[in-house]
Amino acid sequence: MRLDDTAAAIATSTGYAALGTIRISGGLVLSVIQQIFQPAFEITEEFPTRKPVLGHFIDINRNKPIDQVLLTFYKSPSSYTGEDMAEISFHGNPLILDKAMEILNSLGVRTAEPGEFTYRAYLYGKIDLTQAEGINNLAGALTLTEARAALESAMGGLKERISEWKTELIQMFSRLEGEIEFSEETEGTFFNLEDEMSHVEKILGELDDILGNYKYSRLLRKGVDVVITGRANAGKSTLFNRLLKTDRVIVTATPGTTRDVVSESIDLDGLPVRLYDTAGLEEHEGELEKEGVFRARKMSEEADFLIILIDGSKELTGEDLKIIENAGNKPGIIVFNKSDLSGTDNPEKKKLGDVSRETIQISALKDSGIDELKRNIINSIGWNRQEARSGILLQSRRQHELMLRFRHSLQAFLSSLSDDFREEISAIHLRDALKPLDEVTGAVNIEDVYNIIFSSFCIGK
Amino acid sequence: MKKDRFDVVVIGGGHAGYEAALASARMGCDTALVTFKKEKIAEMSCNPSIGGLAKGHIVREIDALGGEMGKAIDATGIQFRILNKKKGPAVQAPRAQADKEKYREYFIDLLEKTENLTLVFGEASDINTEGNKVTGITLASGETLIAEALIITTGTFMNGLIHIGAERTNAGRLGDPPSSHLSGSLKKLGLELGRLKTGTPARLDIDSVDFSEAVIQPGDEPPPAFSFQTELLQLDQVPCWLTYTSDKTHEIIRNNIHLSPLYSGIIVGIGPRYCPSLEDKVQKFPERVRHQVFLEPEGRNSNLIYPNGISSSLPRDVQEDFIHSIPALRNAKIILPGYAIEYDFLFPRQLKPTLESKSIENLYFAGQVNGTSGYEEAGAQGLMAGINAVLKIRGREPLILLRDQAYIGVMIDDLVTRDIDEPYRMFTSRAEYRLLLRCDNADKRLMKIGVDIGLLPRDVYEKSIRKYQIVDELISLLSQKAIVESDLSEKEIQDYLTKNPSGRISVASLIKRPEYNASDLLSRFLPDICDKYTDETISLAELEIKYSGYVDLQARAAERVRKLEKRRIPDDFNFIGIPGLSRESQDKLNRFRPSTLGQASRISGLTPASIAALNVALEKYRNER
Repeated sequence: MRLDDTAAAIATSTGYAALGTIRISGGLVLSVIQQIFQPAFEITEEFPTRKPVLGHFIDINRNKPIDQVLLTFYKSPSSYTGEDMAEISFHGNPLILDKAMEILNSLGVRTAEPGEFTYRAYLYGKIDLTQAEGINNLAGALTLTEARAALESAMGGLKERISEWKTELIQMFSRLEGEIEFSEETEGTFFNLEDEMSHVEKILGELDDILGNYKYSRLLRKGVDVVITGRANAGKSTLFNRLLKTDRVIVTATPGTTRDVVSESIDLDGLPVRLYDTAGLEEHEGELEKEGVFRARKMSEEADFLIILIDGSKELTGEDLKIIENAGNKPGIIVFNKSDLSGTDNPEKKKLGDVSRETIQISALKDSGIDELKRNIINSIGWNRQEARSGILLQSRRQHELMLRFRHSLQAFLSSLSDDFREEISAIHLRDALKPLDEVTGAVNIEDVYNIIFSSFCIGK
Repeated sequence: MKKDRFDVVVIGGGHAGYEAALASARMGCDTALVTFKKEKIAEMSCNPSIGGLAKGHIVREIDALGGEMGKAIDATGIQFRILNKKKGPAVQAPRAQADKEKYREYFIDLLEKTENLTLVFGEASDINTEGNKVTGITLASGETLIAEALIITTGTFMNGLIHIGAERTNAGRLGDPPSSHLSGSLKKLGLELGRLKTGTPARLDIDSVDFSEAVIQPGDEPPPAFSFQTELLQLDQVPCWLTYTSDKTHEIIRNNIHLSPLYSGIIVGIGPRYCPSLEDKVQKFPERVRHQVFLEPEGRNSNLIYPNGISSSLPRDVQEDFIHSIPALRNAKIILPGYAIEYDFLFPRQLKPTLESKSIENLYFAGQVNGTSGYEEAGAQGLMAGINAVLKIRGREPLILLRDQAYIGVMIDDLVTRDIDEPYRMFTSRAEYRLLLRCDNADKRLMKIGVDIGLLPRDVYEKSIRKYQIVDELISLLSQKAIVESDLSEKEIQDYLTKNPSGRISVASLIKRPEYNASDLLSRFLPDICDKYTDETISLAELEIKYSGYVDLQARAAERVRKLEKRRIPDDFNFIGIPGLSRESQDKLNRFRPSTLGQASRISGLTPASIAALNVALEKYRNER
């Protein structure tokens, strides 16, 4: 946590919801509002405080609104944190919220650390310590123990790795500063360009592995929403139950039994998956059914992955094709069910024509092709249990941002070594490269650098 | 009747002392300088040289503020060089060999003829105070001097203890008595003192050295000057020599290491690791087969050679043995033995950034007594203490240099915010904004301040302004002068022009490339004006162009930090009980009692989060007032 800066965070839980709120706190709030917020009605005087204002959140790079929002501004000290603060309510789409955070970051607003706003509130004397602790205990979103365990063990690994990098870079810094400071006082060289470049390249390689693993962290943290969609009586609930391995949902032979959306969490090879069984997508008379279909459609739109289930024992209908068409580009798979009735070489598959989606045949009832389906889901989502469990996982958007910054500055340092090398310029780049790590482990003490120089090199006339 | 009433009294006639006394007297204050002996004023107790990396930077800064050290070494130096010539201009600095005797004479003469300045010879033994304010001093003779402000610059003299093997002598420097009462007087005032150690090598008879066994080390031609006011240095330079220790030397050291007071545990003070004794070098780096020994003459006519690199506190006979094992020194005659000296110093965290004591008003400390090492570090503190003592008694705003303004600012800030556990030497890496703090631009950074406080003649400052006007004019010429295809070689067109969409580049953009230098490009593309500019102007313009992007970046980073420097912490602010601060952080803050948030942020072990907590507490404090 630094001073004099403004931080923002998504204040609501991640995933799809009706609303998503971003909270910004710090000295820049008003000037940020002026840049990203276009009120629906002209504000002639001062920006109103403690009053929701309707307007648009603007993507300043493209000068286009990304969402209609309600923005509430709180003037210091009458705010939760005690600083100038704003709460912006978006429609609850994680992509929109991510985009908004990106825009805020580009305006110099930092992603807040977990619990930071509460900490600021505590510092400003708005709440006492017990309250602060209580609020922090509310955090904790993951229910699946394996996912949580994976994240926790990865956390220790990251800290350890950062301190290894830091030690290595401080030693490098010592050699570089030794070269600048003492090369006229002693024999021999301190800083061998080629060796140092290969050190930096090694760190960059390790860093890229970790950045590459970030997708697993996101999957573990947010989980994956898999929605089974399809016409009535395609066997959605049977598949749902098969995947659940329980009799959680009532299954009957009458079309349209599942009127509402039913969901359950499963562990798919270590990946937390929320599985949704939906109503059959066809026209219905009753209000209740209509509502079910509406929700099923909405679920399909918001899914991370779609299982488009088709009754493989019957002819492909226009409605089946419509469902496939409506799925658009969303990741998913076409599953021909009831292979026990149709045989494994289903002729209906050919009727799909130019639909490029992968297809697979299963029998939910007879438990055939289910493992293949699971493998297919895992592969399409990009999950790899092996890699996810062996590597270091970045915990949060903040850590990811930090590592990206580290990569950027380290790369700049590396280029300064290869292109027109100047000791005093590279030293600036190296100091900069260390800065993101400082936020995790505290600032570099120059005395540590001298300790290394004086214990590794014989200095002094 | 003897004069006994002064505005400012300075105790000590070393490098901190003379700068302090001169600053005070020149600013118009009635000043006394109290020292043991006239002949030892401005003595160089250790190496006969001034400058070097970071130290040379400091001398340039002293000079730009109107101090004396730069002019003195220009007048009395016998060899001048630029160090780090192979590296960038920000990390180059001048270094000179001094004529020790001439250097002393320069200052004795100057101090004697300086208006408002009285030299008092004797030992200062007691500091007199009333309440928490200094009133003057009592000398060992019983005389008292009344002073509004007092500056203590006693170097290694407070409880100085010299070690040569098992021999121990109470002394401030070999051959000079220590000051044995002052420490007690300071302790009585509640000030906390610590103990440090430093050392110096033997001095050798120049006629007994075999220079045919050594490599000559000449000065640069033309000799580079320190002072902005020195027009041209003209002298016949005296060379130094380089020789090496041998296997035999190291064997002798190893066989006698038990006789070293450092290794037998007699010496408790901590010595500087950047200036180790030969014992340390041999013990800590056993893999090194030889160490450099620089043979430096102590003056043009001096019979002494200072063998830089072999400081030692071994017994006299062992010193003689190992010195005779060095090729060029086989028959060397030792005039004075090397020795280690332990001395009392004041933990400088007890000082404000003005170098005034936090607890005793109008009491200032400067130089080695603050735990630093080096003539340059001492001189700079003396100058700043002298200036601030005068500003204080006149009720004016203090002069505090910031870390992005001067190495002097970095040093004093380090002293008051850090724990000293070895003698503090300046390194360029201590500065966060190294590219801003260069030797070449010390005038640009500091001369205005020098003029404003009344130490630097206005015409010197105006000359510097004119110099930079011409530099700026040249830079804009170079940036505007476009180069077209017909001016360039096939390869240059390929390398530079084709990459540039506009098809035009400026001379300045070529200067940025490492493979070009400004004066060549100037005569190639602007031949009619190249004679108009001096080499200095051209090289300053070149430097600004080559560094430009980085200098801007550092300046912006410095600006951000300055915000924290502006947030003052009141003297009576209570650091204990601040919410969000660990007990340890509270204690640390309470111990250093930082005067700005910027200072607090540099106290080791305080995280950015604790500084945020402190900031909030400060804001609350202000709101409640």
